[in-house]
Amino acid sequence: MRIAVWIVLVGASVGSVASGRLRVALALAALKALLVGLEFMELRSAAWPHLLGFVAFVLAVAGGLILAA
Amino acid sequence: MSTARRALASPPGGVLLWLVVALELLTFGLVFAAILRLRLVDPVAFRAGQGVLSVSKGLALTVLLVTSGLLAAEAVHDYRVRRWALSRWLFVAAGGLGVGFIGLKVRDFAGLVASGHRLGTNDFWDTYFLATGFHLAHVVVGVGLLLGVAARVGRTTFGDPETAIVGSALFWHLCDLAWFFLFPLFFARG
Repeated sequence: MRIAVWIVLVGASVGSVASGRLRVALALAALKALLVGLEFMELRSAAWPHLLGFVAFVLAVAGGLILAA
Repeated sequence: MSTARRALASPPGGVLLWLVVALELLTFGLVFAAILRLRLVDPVAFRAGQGVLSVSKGLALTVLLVTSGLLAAEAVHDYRVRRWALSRWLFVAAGGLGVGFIGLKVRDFAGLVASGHRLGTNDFWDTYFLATGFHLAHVVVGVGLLLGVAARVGRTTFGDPETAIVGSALFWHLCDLAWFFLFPLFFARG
């Protein structure tokens, strides 16, 4: 699973450069942050408030940046 | 490794490290907002600065960080299943890639300074050096933690392995998260 996440992370990074568009790149950044949080930082097994707090934070930051961009 | 959901009072990496991560993420959030503001209020200067940055170098830095993150996550997993030697070498490899990141970033800074782009040149370069320098400082601390843990895994016992082992990796992943947003904010041109 962690290897699969790494492949997605690298693919999303390349996709971010290939698109060249800030909003697309920020959306991909949010996807990468969620994957790292859930899998590498082990939030998949964390308490629900912790897990949901992290997801909400990432979505709020990315959403705010995308809307303002 | 157990798949049971953890108690709120015992998050992966420990409460202390998560407090640190939360504060750092909030701080980086302000940095992201400052970069975006600069993009919006002075797009001409921002685009001119972006034209100097190397996208391929930025992508290489990203790949170094995410690969190191994978190795750190694997090291934590191997520690949990008591494969000490493998865990130690994975921490060493993760730290080594972190050293690679530092080397590439320092080269990037040196090249920019040599070509006349430095702190005080204009708002773009002030923001670039301060934001990526702030991130680089975290990477340096993270590498120290990874290599410090690597030196001890399997050789000494940890009083609080959750904080020492998982917490060190957690701090390292924070560097990933921050870079994920710094990268497009500085390098995406559209």
